[in-house]
Amino acid sequence: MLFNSYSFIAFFPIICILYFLLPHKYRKYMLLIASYYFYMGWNAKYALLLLLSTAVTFVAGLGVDHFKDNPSKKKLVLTGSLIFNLGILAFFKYFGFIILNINKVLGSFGGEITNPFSRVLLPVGISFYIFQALGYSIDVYRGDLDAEKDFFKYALFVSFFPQLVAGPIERSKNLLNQFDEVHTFDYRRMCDGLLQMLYGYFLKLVVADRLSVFVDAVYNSAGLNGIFYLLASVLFAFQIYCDFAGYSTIAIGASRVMGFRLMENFNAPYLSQSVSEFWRRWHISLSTWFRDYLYIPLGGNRKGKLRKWINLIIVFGVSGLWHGAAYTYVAWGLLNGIFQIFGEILAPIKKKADTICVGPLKYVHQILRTVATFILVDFTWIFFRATSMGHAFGVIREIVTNTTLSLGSDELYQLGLTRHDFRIAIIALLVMLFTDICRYRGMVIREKILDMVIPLRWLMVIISVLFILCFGIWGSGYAETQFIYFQF
Amino acid sequence: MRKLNYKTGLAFFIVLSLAITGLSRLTMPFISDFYYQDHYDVVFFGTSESFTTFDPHVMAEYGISSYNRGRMTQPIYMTYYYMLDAIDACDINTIVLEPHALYDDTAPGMELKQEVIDSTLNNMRFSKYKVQMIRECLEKDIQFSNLFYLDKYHGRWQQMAQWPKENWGYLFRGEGEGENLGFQPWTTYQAMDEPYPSVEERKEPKDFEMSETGVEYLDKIYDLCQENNIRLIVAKSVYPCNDSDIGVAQYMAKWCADRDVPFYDYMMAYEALGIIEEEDDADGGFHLNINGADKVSRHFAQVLYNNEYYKKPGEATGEQ
Repeated sequence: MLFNSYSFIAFFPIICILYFLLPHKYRKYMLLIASYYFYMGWNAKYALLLLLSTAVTFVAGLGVDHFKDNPSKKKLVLTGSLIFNLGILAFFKYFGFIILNINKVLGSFGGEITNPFSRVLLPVGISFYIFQALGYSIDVYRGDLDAEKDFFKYALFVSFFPQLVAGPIERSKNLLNQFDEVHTFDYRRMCDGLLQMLYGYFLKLVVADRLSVFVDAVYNSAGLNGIFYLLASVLFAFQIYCDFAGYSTIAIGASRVMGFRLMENFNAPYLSQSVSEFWRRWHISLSTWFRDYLYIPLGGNRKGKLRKWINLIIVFGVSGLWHGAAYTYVAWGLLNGIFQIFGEILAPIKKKADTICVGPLKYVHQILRTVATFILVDFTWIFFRATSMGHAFGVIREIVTNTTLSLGSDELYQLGLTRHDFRIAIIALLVMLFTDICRYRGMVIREKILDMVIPLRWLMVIISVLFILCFGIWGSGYAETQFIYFQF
Repeated sequence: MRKLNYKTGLAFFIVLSLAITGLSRLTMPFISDFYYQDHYDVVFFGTSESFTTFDPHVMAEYGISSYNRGRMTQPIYMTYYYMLDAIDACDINTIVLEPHALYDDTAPGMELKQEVIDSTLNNMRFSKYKVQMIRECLEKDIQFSNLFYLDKYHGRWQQMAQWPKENWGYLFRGEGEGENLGFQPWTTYQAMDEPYPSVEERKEPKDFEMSETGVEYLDKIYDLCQENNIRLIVAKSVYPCNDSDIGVAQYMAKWCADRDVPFYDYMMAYEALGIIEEEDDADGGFHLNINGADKVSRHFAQVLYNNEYYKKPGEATGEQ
């Protein structure tokens, strides 16, 4: 079930009403059934996989708890859980990729093997819920958390519908105990959650899905003026941000309506002044997952600079692979790691520049750093968006060698978006930018809206709803566009 | 913690619903000017064969007020709901059904092209009959999007943004104004590749079986007219004249005779009307152009006028 579908628009209020009408002790069961129903909207059979992963990590948690005084057995249980879950992930996500690479090698000797599972579909959200479940197992292993004894509560933690298919990847320490809290209906909290959802829909329907029309048209074409590839690459940065942040914002808002607090997943990432800052603001739930469960166990920054850099490269390489079984994702991840290493190497120069640039120059310097960071990040997005490494290099080649600034507007408007669409996109991007700047400075616009007098608040909300309805890409004239991160 | 003030919440949803309804209305393409009058002597129903053949302006020359509600490729079961809505909206003396649609053996709930659905629904006001039509005639998975206009038409702001300023009035009174009373004059000429069977050949019995849906809805239409004291006339346009159309016409002749419903088959009378294929054919034997329509309309207007068929049943001279 997609957030941008009628099914969800009908499903969500029903679940909320049921949630607050039911006595507390029954709520988790209702939410669990609702979450599985939500998931089975894609492929009912794959709910069994979700259940299996849940059962294995639940039992592993109990096993780890049982053997807490026996480190070797405890480790054995955890290893078993990790192998099983990562095995599922590898089978569904990477098996085809592995076969493809074996065939590349065998091809040079005239051999080939066929993939017997080529028709197996990738279960939606598998990377998200497996990482969430693994995080729980590791937390229990480390003793940060007691093993959960209530299977239904744990199953709900893994499958909680707002964040099931595209995160945020929740921590057991944050979410699991919230299912024990008695949430009473709170009008302001509901309004706050709904406003968040509204903003999420704005990001997805008005910005991301509109930009995707142009980006797809350009990336699927060959031999265009390089400036189109440049523009499409810049717009893709906003598309993927609005798509993913849109999903996360709807998920967080939907949870908030019911009283749950999910972790923030984005915090004005394109206002970052370095690539490492970008990664503290982009897909926060995944970045912190990798930090806590991979980077730090690898040694983090405790074993010298070189080891730290190697760790960074490993983490970002794995992060790339987590996003998809393709070299383009690995390249994207590695580039992000490399840029962070360069950032560290250049840190003394940046520090010096910080001390030199005072007064108005300070702001100019900050803006330049923000722009430079955006350029670097956007460069990596080319690999993320391209369908192959050859495609990515082709796009870069076109940008570098085939860019002429004399751009006929007719050409621009023949790539899926009209003049009016571009105007709406620009207005929407400015709204997004304004919201992010406010957020960067610690101001939450939602709270300002909630504190307004009723007529003004209603006006704001109604105008926002009408704006999304009128200018969003939705309805029978358009195919419901999946959120990009569902495929991961 | 703030508790919900239910009255405030309800008021908000009413205001929001009104705003969304207003937006839906603004972006909806057509509101037919059919609804601007509360009485018509004659209303034509059917498919494009109806709206390219029967011209209400010609009827007006004979003092007959009429409107053509024919819509593109409209299945007979949708025509039935169109009639229900029309009868509810205004007082009608006579309904003229062009039966070309009866060759079609689709049934309610089967797949229809979206442009066929749009052609019918866009021209219809929001009424309980429209809701019934959507529920009864359309596939389940497209019912909501056809009921909720915004789903289909919210992107129409792009077209509206290109309107000249004088068209902005349409926002409030509908583009339907000036719709030509439903008649759509085609001005093209295109002769058919192969001629249709001659009149004599058209008389030969055809192996045609009317669909169950066709029979069911014809009877419903007949009953509807009877219940509302509306005269029903069936008039087959000149085109098209395929075997299935001939089969329909032969079936209708018998059906009408059994129920004492006047039936005019212009397929059989095209020579008498002076229809010249090279001049009166709009698109290779599917529709009449404006010349052909004028010829048929004049003849039919005279039929209505001479027989006083534009009056309610029982009101014409000689009728009781």
